[in-house]
Amino acid sequence: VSHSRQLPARVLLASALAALGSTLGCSSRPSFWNTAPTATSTVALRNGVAIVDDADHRVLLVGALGAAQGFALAPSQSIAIGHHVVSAQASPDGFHLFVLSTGDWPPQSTTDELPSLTVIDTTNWAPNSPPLTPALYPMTQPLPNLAIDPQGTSPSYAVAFQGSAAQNVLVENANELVIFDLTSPPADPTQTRPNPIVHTIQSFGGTPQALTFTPPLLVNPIDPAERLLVVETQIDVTLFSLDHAFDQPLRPEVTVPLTAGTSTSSLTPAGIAVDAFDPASAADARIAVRTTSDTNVFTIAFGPPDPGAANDFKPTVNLTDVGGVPSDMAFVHTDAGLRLAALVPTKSAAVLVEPDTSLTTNVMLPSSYSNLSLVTAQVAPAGNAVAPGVDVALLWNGSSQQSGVALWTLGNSVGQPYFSTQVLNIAQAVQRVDDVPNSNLKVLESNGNQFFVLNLATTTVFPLDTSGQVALSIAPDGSRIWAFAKDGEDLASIALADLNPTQLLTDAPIDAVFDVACLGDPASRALFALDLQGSVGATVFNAENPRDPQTPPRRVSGLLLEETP
Amino acid sequence: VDNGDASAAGVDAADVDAGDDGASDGGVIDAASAIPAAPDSGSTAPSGSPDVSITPDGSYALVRQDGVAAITVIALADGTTTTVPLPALPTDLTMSPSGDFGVAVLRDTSTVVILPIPGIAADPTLLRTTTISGEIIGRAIVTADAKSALLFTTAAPVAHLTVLSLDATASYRTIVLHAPLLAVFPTADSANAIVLHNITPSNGVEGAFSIVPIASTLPANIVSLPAPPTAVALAPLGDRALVAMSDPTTGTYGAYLAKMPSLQAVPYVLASPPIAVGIVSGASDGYIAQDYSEGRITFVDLQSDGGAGGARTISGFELGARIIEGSNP
Repeated sequence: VSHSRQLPARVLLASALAALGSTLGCSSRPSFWNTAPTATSTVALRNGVAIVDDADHRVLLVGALGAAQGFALAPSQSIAIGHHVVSAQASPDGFHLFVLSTGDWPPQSTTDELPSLTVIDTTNWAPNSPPLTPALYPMTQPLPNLAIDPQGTSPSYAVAFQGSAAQNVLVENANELVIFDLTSPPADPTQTRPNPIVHTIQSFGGTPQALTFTPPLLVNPIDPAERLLVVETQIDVTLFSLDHAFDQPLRPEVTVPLTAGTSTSSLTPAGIAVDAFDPASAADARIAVRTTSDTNVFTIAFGPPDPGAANDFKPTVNLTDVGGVPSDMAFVHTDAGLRLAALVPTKSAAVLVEPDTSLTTNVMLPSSYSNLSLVTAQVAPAGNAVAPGVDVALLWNGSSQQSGVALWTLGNSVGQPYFSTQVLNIAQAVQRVDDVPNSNLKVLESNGNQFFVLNLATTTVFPLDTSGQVALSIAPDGSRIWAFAKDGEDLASIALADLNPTQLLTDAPIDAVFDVACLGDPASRALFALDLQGSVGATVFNAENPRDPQTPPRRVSGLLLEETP
Repeated sequence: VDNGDASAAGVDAADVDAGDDGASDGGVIDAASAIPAAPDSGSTAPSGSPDVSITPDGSYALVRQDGVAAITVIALADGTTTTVPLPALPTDLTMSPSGDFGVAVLRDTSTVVILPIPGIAADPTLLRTTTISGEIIGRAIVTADAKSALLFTTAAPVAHLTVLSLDATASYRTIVLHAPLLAVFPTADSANAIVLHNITPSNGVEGAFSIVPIASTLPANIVSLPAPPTAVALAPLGDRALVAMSDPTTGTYGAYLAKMPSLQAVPYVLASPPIAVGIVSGASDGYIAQDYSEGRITFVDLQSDGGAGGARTISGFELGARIIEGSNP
C-alpha cells in the first residue's frame, strides 16, 4: 500500500463529499468524515502494531515485510470497531486484539450502536491475506474495563466490568459482569447459550475492582480441575466458576468476607496469589489474599461442597498474622514444602506461612523489599545450587537507594532462614523488573539515569547509563532492549548478547516503539518507532541490525490516511 | 465429640498437682456434713475439702477427708453413713468404673485398700489390703476394665509406676520410668497409659511424657518436650492420644500424637498456645483449640504419620461461617 497514493485519494473523496454535502445537506454523511483521524491508542501485537482510530471507528493494523523486501510497510488492514473505544488490549500471545467500546450511549435512534467487544485474530495475517474478519460481541450496557484471560496461548474468556472508572450513565449496576466465551461465536440473549452473558454477582456492599483468572484448580478431588474467576471488591472476595459460567441456570458464586461483620471496620483486598503448581493436586488448590491495612493474610483452601450446594467446591478461609501489612506475596516451594511467602516491609522481613497449619517462619531481609518475583526457571538451569523442587525469588523495590535487589533461595529458608538471601548491590532502588523472554536475564528499571541487566545464571548485574529518563521496551524474542526518550528523537538498541548499545535517530518524536515479527517472514523482525502526532507516522528499522546499510530505516507518515472500512 | 477432651479425660487438678497426692477427683455433693468425727487410730484433725467418689448408679458415695484415717460410706438413698477405719491416713480415693469397689491409697504404709461396694457399707471389715513393698504410692487410678490399678505418687520425685492386679492374686509389678510422674492417663482399652513427667528443665528439654504399656511388659517410650505438657486427650478405642505442650515465654507450642501399640510419637508444631485438646473419634481426627485472636483449631489426622497433610489448621471461624453461596439479588 502506498501512502503517498492513499492521502490524495482520501482527501479528494472527502472534498468531493463535502462539496456534495454542502449541496444536498449534511444529514446523510457518515460522521467520521467530519473528524480528523487521530490515534487513540496503540497496541503491540506479535506481528504488527494496532493503531486505534476511535474517531473513524476503526483500528489500523500495520506490519512490515521481511528483510528481503527491505522492511517495507506491508499492506495495512483497516478493521471496523465499535464506537467510543474505552479499552484496547492484546492477548498474552500477542495474536489477538480486544477492543471494548461503549457504543452510542444512551442510544437515541435505531442507528446508534450498542456497546460491544471486537476481537481481531491476527494469527493468519499475511501480506496478501484478505481483510481480517473480526468477531463482534454485542453488549446491552456500556462498561469501561476489560479483563482478559491470561492463561493458554489463546484466551478463553474476557470479562467487562465497571471497576473504579467514573460513572458516565445515570444509573449503573457496578456488580454486573459481562462474561465473554472467546472460544464460541457471539450469540444473542434469545439463544439457548447466549454469549456473552450478563451476571450480577452477589454484593454485601462492595463492587468489583479487580479480576483474576486462575489456572485449573482441583477444588474438589472427585471432579476435574476447575478454573475460577476471583473478583476482588472493596470488602470481600468472590469466587466464580469460569468453567460453569455459561451453564443454564447460572451457577451462583461464592463470597468470602474479610471481616466478621461485628464492627463497622472493613478490609480491602490489595492483591491475591494463586497456588496452582499442580492442577492434579488438591493440595495445590489455594488462593491467598492480602489487604491494604491488615496484618493477616487470608488463605483460601477448597473442599467438597455442602449437600445441596450449586458449586463443586466449598472454600474455607484461614487467617495468619504475619506481623505487618504485607506488600507482596506468592506461593513458593521451600525445603520444608509449600509456603506462602509474604513480604513485610515494616519488619524488613519475609514471612513464610505453612498454609495447612498457619505456622510462620520469619526470614530477616537485608532491606525492606516491597516486591518479589519468582525466578526459579531463570536460575535453575544454570545450576546455581538450587535444590530440585524449591524456588528462588528476586526481591526488589527496597526502601533505600542501596537496597538493590536480593536473591532469596527458598531451598534453605525454613531450615536456615539467616542464610538464604544474597544481595546484589545496585546504586539505585529498583522500581520495576522486566522479563526477558527466552533467557536468564531480567531488566531492572529505576527512577534514576540508569537501568540494569541482571543475569540470574551468573548473578551479575550490568548497569547501563542514560542521559535522562528513558522508556524501555524488551523485544519479544528476548534479543534486545529498546530505549528511547519519550517525545524525543533518540533511540538505542541494546543487544542482550553483548550489551552493546546502537545509537539511532528518528526524524520525528517517538511516542512508542514496537519490536514485531515481519509478515510472511517471522524470522525477521522490524521495529516501529511511532510518532502519534497528526495522522501518525513511523520509522521502521531492521530490528536485528538497525544500521545495516542494505536495509536502511524507512520513514512513513500519514498511516491513518488509509481508507476507512 | 466424645469425652476425650482433656478436662473430661482426666487432666483434672489432681493429676497435675505434684505436691499433694490426695487432691480431689471431683465431686458433686457436699459430703462434709456427713463426715463423722475422726476415729482414734492415728487420725489428726480433719482438714481441706472432702474427696468424694460416687458410684455411677448414684447409690453410694465414698468420702475421704485429709487428716482422717477412715473412709466414710454414705448410702445416698437414706443418708446412712458407715465409717471404715483404715490403718493409716488415705492419700487418695477412687472408684472403679462400674462402681462395684473403691480404692484407697495409704501412702505412709504403701498400702492399697479395696472397698467392695455395697458390702463395705454393711460390714466395714470387708476391706482388702495389699502392701506394695519398697514403693512410695499416693495415688491410684483404676483402669477401664477394672482389672488393674495404677499406683504412683506425685508428691515425691519417684519415677515408678506400679500396676496392681485387682483379681484375687493381687499381684503387682513396678515399671521403672525415666522421670518423676506428674499425671497418669490409662487408655480406654486398659493396655497402655500416657504418663506426664515432672522434670527439671535443662538443655532445652522443658517437659516429657511416656507411652507406657501396662498390659504387657514392653518398655515405655519417653518423649522429651521443648515445652511443658498442658493437656492430654485419649481416643475411645485406646489406640491414640494427643498431648499438648505450651511455653509462652519462648513461644513454643505444639502437640504430640501418641500411637499405640506402636508407642510412636508424632510431633506437630502449633502457631499459637493450645488451650484444649480432644478427639473426634467418628472423624478419626484429633483437635487442638488454640488461644488466637481470630480463633484457631488444628485438626490432626489420627492415622497420619506426620508430614504434609497430617495436620490442618483453621482460623477465623466467623469468617468461615459467613462464606455465602448466592447470586443475583
